[in-house]
Amino acid sequence: MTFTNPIVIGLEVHIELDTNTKLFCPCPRTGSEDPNSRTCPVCLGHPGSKPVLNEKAVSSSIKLALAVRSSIAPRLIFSRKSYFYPDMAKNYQISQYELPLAKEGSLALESGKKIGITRIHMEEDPASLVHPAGMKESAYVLVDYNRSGNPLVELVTKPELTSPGEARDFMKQLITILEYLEIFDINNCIVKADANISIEESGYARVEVKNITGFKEIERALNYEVARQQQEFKEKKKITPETRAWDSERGTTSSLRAKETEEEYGYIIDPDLVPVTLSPGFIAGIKRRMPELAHEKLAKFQEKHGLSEEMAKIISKDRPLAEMFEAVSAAVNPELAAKWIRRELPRVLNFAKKKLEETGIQERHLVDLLKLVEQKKITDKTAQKLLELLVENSFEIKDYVEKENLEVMEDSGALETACREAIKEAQKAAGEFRKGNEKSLHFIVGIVMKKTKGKADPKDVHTLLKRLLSGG
Amino acid sequence: MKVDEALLGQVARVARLALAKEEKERFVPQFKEILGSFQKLSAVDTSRVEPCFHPVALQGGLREDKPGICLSQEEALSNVRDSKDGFIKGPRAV
Repeated sequence: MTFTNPIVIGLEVHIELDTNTKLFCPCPRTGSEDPNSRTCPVCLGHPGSKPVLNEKAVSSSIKLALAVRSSIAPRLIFSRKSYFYPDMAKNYQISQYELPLAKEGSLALESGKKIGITRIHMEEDPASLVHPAGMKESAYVLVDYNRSGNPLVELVTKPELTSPGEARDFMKQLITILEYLEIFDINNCIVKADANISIEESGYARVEVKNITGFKEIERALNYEVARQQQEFKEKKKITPETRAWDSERGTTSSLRAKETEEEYGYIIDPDLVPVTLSPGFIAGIKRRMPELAHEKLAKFQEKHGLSEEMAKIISKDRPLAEMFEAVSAAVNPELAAKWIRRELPRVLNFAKKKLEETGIQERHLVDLLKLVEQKKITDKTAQKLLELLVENSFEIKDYVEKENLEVMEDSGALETACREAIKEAQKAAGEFRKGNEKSLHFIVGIVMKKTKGKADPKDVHTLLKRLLSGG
Repeated sequence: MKVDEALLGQVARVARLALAKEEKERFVPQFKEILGSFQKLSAVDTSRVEPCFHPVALQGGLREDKPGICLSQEEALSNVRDSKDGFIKGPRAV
């Protein structure tokens, strides 16, 4: 392959699938954290134990393949990747090699640039190892097989990323897709990347950086690695192809053991797993259950709902918000819906430290609330307060507004009285305003709003105060 | 492929086995014999034969994503020679 960019990056992303059980045995994927408490003869590699494939892991992996437009293989075939290391009790990892689940495909970055995908395959996670005295110094390792056998789907990109920033954006876009597909839960699944990175100065000697967790880390790790390689080049050192490990705490990479070659892994087809035919009907069934994805919603929100690109991007990234917007904008003005779903809803959720799905807020609540705003029956301020209350307790908006008498004050006499009282109380500000200081009016508006318990329309208050202060 | 002590050494390294000199001398002829037999098999023209990975033509075999019963930590560690705080203690391999 001939490269022309100063930096060339390809990623191998391992995604832990959000299943209840492991890939080949019914041990729970999450739960007890006591070491070696979620194991069975299969994930401990006992002789005679037989792996049986998890259906949900298969359909989740197919969803990802469909979302990035990969071609799915007609059969699922697994291979044994042999290596002798304590993280796999069987001395082989069940993976896919000769025939991956899917090939080709692409994923678009935020800029619209498409990054090619080489392959997508399924494999089991190895056990976790603890090196008590540190990775380099420890005389022995402690092995916990709880993680052994967890379902992973690996996505390999073509070397088409040209900066650490692009690698970060790729991971971000990928995570958005995974969350939309509901096959990955950022709170209890891990996404890890190995990155192949090379620079022009070295003649594109390929250095693999392993073990990078999350999208912020990938940019850090790759920025470090680019700087390191450029420095080595300046010092006239030879950059050789090698595998390095990312140390997040130190923010550096360090050289790892020479790994086995593909040949040394001695791949063979796993005779314990029976082939699974992926019939067009089976795949079509999964496709039917797939949700509309973020990029599709982004286009729709701009074209059909007339949102700005920026607004559409923010709302489409988060599936619950996007779906809420679609439902609410069917009943009220889409721009008004977008404004409240983009700004006010996240504000009150952030303040209460809750996710939308953890509250009782439903589409009808927002529809009722925004209809009242649209019809000018309640002020923005009242609506904001109601939203804050809704995060804590679910109630019927219309009933509550009526019961608490929250509708906008239409009694102009009462409003005028409140304004006159406010001017009396704020003689100094009133004087300032008369001298030409427009800003001092805000202070008096504040007093009126307090007096009217937020029920007055601030615009009306402004107009009325101006009239009264200029002697009208 | 040249089957000699160097190749045997490479295979042993990957499998993390330490072979003594006399073992290597003993195993080289055995390796030659085994690989020779496979070479004979490889000579057969199989270009028109579908590969067979399983002796019995089974299909499907997917499992519902439903948790089952695990071994207790005590059971899981019962065959282990060396353990510490619930972990299995093993040699470092890096």
